[in-house]
Amino acid sequence: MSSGELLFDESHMWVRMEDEDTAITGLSDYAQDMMGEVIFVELPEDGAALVRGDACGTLESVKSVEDLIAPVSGEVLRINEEVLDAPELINQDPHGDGWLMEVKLEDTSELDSLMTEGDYDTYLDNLEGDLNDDESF
Amino acid sequence: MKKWRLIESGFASGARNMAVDEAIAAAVASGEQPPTLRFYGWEPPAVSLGYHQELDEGIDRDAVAERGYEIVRRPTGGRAILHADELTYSFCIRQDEIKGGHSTLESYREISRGIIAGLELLGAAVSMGSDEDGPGPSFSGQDTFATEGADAAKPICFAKTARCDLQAAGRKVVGSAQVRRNGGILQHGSIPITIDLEDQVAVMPGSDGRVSRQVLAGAAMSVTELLGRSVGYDELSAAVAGGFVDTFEVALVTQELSSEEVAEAERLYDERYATAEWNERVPGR
Repeated sequence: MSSGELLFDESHMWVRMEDEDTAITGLSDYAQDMMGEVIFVELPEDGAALVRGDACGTLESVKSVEDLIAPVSGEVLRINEEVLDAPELINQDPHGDGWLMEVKLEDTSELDSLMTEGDYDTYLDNLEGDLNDDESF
Repeated sequence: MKKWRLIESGFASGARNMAVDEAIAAAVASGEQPPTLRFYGWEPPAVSLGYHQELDEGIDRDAVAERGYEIVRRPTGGRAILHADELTYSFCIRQDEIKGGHSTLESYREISRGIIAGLELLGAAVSMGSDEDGPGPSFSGQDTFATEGADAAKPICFAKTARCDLQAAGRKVVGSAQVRRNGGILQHGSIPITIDLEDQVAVMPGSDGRVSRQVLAGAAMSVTELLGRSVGYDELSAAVAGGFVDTFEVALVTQELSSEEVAEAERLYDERYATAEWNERVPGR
């Protein structure tokens, strides 16, 4: 795994550029924490076309199913086969061994709309803030 | 006071029930409809499978067919349930409209407060499993049992208790599951009024056919047994609705599905829930 900068999207996926148009993606640490123990992962096949913002797989935890949302558009070069058999890797090392897909980006300008780690932290603070402000329950 | 919707659907097939739940979830997630509590039953009885569950995992398809029952795959996670004499609830809300909405476990906990309050109105005490329960209930990937047959029972929802299930005396009373999509939560669950143990184990014998009546009897409890008296579908649904009103301090307004929801449910029925392609699909690995 490269130690390059992580970028994030609002669907809690991270993206790390490997070279000028190839990226590794995975689920953010925050998202795995919110989901709890991941027990099943469904990923697209190698060669599948991803469209940014569209569902490209599913995750299941605590009897809850969630869509995996593509953070970038492009072609899936390979998926993390290891995580299919050991989904707990997503909980144990979400930004490392728990990576999900390697993607050849269709349009690198999409990266401009992703958040830096600092921006993502602010985004998460606001998410949590919204909940704490909600006194109606 | 906030107004949430109450939909009383009555009894329908499994495919219809799942199509309507998903149609409501989409309308609520998009903000077209307010948070919605729905009650329904199953006619004919049906086995529902979790989203990622393999069809033949612990299910006797011949026994299902012999009884005229159906099989449907849910949009939600979890394990198989035989829906017979029960009240089923579904609750849809946007994640940002409920406390803990961004956390799966926290939202289970929050929504469960309404169910617990409803059962309390009938005089029943149930609780949700928690981390503090020690070696007791756990996530579905690490099931715990008071009786033998742990592995065999894994595919069967009511043969085990997970951390987010409602229980009494260590036995599961309500089995629930979620799907979270487009910022919304759909949580639905089964509240058995009575449990026909013989029927249950015939239809869902578990892996290697080793879920016995004894195992199931030790793991699940009907509302009738819990209360020590008979209770009807209407009495139970009224109590759960009351529990939501009290807990979330909302008014529940009984309504019909919108025409858009009816059309979307029809589409989902035709294209998904009534198709073998969906119900018999092998989860991608």
